[in-house]
Amino acid sequence: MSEGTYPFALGGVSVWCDQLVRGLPEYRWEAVALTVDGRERPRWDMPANVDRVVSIPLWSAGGSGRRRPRGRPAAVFRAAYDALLTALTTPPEESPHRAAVQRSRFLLALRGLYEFAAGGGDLGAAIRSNAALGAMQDRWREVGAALGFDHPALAGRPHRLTLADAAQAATLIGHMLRPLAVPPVRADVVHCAMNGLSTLVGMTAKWAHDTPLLISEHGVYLRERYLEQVKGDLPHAVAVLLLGFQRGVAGAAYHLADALAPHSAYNRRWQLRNGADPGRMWTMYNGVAPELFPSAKTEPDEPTIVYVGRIDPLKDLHTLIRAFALVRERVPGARLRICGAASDLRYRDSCLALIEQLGLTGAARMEGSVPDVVEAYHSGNVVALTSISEGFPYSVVEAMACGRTMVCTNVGGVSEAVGDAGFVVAPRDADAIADACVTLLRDPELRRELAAKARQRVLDRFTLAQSLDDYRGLYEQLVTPALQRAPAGGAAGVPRAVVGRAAAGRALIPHPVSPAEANRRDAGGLAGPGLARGTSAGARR
Amino acid sequence: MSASAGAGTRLTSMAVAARGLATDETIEMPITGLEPMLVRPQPSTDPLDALVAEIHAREGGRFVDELQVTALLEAHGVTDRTARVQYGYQDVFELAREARVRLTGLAERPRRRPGRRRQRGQTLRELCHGALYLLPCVLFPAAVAGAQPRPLVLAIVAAGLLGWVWAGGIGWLAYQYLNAGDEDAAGRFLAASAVAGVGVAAVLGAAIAATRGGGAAVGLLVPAVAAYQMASTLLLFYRDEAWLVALMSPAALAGIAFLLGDHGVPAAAIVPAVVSIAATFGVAVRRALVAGAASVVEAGRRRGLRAVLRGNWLTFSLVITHTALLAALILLAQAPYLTDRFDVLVAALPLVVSMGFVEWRARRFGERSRDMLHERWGPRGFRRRVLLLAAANAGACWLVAAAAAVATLAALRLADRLTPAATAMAAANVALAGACFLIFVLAGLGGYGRLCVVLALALGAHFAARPLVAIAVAWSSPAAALTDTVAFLGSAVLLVGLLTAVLAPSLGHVRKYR
Repeated sequence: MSEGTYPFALGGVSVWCDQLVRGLPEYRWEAVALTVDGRERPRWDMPANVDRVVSIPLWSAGGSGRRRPRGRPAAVFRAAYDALLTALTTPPEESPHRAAVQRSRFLLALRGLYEFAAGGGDLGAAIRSNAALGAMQDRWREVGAALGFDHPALAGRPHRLTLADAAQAATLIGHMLRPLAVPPVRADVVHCAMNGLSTLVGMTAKWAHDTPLLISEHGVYLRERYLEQVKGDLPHAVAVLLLGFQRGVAGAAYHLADALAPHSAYNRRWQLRNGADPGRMWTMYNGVAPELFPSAKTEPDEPTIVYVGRIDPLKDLHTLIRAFALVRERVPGARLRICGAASDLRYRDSCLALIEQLGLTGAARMEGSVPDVVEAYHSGNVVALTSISEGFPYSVVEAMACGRTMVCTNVGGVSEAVGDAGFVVAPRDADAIADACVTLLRDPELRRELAAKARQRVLDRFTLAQSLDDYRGLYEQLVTPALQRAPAGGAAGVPRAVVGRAAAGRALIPHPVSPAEANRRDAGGLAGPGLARGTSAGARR
Repeated sequence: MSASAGAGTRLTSMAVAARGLATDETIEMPITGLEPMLVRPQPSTDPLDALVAEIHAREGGRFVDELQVTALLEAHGVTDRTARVQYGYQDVFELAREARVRLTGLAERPRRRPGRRRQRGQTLRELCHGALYLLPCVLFPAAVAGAQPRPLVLAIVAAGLLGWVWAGGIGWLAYQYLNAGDEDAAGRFLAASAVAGVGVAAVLGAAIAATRGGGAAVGLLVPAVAAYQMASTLLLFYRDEAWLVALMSPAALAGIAFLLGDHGVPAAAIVPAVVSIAATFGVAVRRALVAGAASVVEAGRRRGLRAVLRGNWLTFSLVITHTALLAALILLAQAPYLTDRFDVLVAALPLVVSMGFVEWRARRFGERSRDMLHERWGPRGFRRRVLLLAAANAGACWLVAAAAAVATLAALRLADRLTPAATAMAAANVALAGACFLIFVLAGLGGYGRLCVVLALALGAHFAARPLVAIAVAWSSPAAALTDTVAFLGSAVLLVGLLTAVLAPSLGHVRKYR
């Protein structure tokens, strides 16, 4: 699936998962991945501490093959689905209190659907049944009538939900709920690499085995789902239901998570807005191993701008190409290297067409995936990233470690990464990007000064060792209460951690935390030594 | 002149006209003050209006909720600081809430779902399918004249079964390629498998000729009939029925001339037929290859046959099985009469000639039932209407086939060849016309497994019922043909009943219509 990452896809989140699994060899892991149809092949070599990889295909044909139960399980389904429909059709609550109630209800609905599936019910078939579709239509109409069809929050919605829209929404939601029908993982910690559907795996483990749930968020899952649908081709009513579902899942996961680790302070805003508890949040920045990204000793012969990353609409390479056209007018002979694999072939083709249209053929090159990203960073005077949505991108930190100056757009945690060691401009502003690039290309002294600052900033704040220490400390905190009660799921004395959406695993804790230490940390809001980078109040050191 | 200026002028002139009629108290009112007050609002100085106008111009005005507007604003570079400093809102979320309200005011009404374009050309093409399915028959009279009856019957049945099943299988697989977005592979696959199918048919024909006799006529008949079926499958797949008609016309004319011309030299009919079939086959294969080569397929979407079949083996097996069962049900009922019972054979025409109508109604049923999902009904209303729609279409198929049957039986009566067996065969084929419609509908809903079961039961009933009919109805000569055709009629009616029974519960399930 487009959201699928480790170990079936490349990209920043997969890099982070691999770093975490390899960097914490004292833990044993299971990798749980939501995939498209289960036919994907792993793109990463599994380290020895990964016990197994579990693929949960969301979009493969066929259902669970279970029979539709009658009697009480069907009643369980009706009650849970009714609550889910209420949440899907009701616009976001403005009042924080009522929003919290809405999230709790959604979570209860998910739990009811999980119990229905665990009791042998075919969730997908039940959701797509005529009765369920009729209930969806009824609830849509009732919510409209209750709020008033002219209510601002319902603006743009049709008064009636057609069967076609209801069936399409139910089919999509049925697929997305498949993780609820999978037997819950057994581990000491479930660690989701992002919010969204993967957290359903964590929810079932929590309901079944009381397993602590940790969610890391690199970007903001919900924001990206919303952006996808701005130009999406779904009918409006289906988009309303689908995004209502995504919003509900994200809010429920925030509500249920024992710990939430946003990978940038900026993204905390969305999380807090959607119900995350600031007392359970710790900002954790991505880190890189500086020795793997040595500082460049020389500069290229020709003025060169480099982009390293996926070829994807979220990266807004059109703006980069347009900005480069402006740069070429002012810095003749400038070059643009776009390095990275295309996750969207049509978008790649549109970039190539734009390069040709702007007369940049030869000067701007799309080089595809490159074997050596360090060489790619070193080959530019300036490294550019013009995304419209980001978490805390590795490419920025890696380029800074390589002693290259960044020109970035101000999205997600980019400005926190770059600080005063580069240029951060507004997204989609080709003029501003071009101005920043030209300034840097024309001023070698400024380039050198900012490059040195960038490298030092990474060494001070964004190393892999720091990041791993932070997570190690967080795992210890999460499993400590479980150790005091009883092992959660696994055999006694063999605690396990699961990193899901991507990774799950079994963790052998080398230094169990003493009850006294645990109490001290509890009192301090989990702000143990490994978590010094973020505090429960969200301030950064 | 702008619209607002025009409206202002109209208002002023109305006011001037009104002054003449007004009382003294209103005469003193200034006229000119009306224009700016009523029709020319001050340009907005709120920067949010400019932002909203920009978003509306770029992305339209329909957003799911304020969070979507927030995401969009952030993607355009609006930060909490910008929201405070430039727009005076606490953060982007608050700014987005207000922006959404204003955007909604600018949103266009959702466009009505465009109706289906009238597809007269497609309808005409489909209606002529029945006649196209009859075309292989042009070979039979000449072949009968030149070959022994028993091997010939075996060859015709074998060719019909092989061609029907092969064509059904490759057609289904080609659609799987198309569903995967690989038209190129679909074309290449169709071309290669059509050639392979004719090769298999040639081997089969040679085997029948070698083991059962019949000579070259039998050896040639099987690959010729198979080649025609492959060619028609390919040309129908690419909606090129016109080529099929044009290229097969000489064969049809020669066959008719042979039939009407007091059965002259068989070669006079066979040679044009073979040439026409060869030409049609060549054109069809080329058409498939050209269609494939013309398509642009993304590198990642190219798939091999194994990839297409992965996860679909069971469905593919069921497609093949139900096609074989249907072919067996129809062909085995006609086979005994191929050489010496012209009356019974002709009585099978109503099904063949009405098959184009049946295909057309099946397609329209699929389209109309999906269209109904966009109307205002709930699941109950949909179920009621879709059942009525299916019943009406099945009834139409029966009516058309019945009309063809009446015409056929009338012709037989005029020729003094009408027999009870022919009447029973015609009635069975009328029943089968409606059954075929229900089969297409059930296949369209993915019920291949159920199709296999009901077709197997109907086929079994045909053979099992013959002795029972013979016992129950002590007809005199010609009992064999009559008991067989009456049993066939019973199996066709049973098939209709079984199809109705398996279809009715699932026909109203909305999830089946994807």
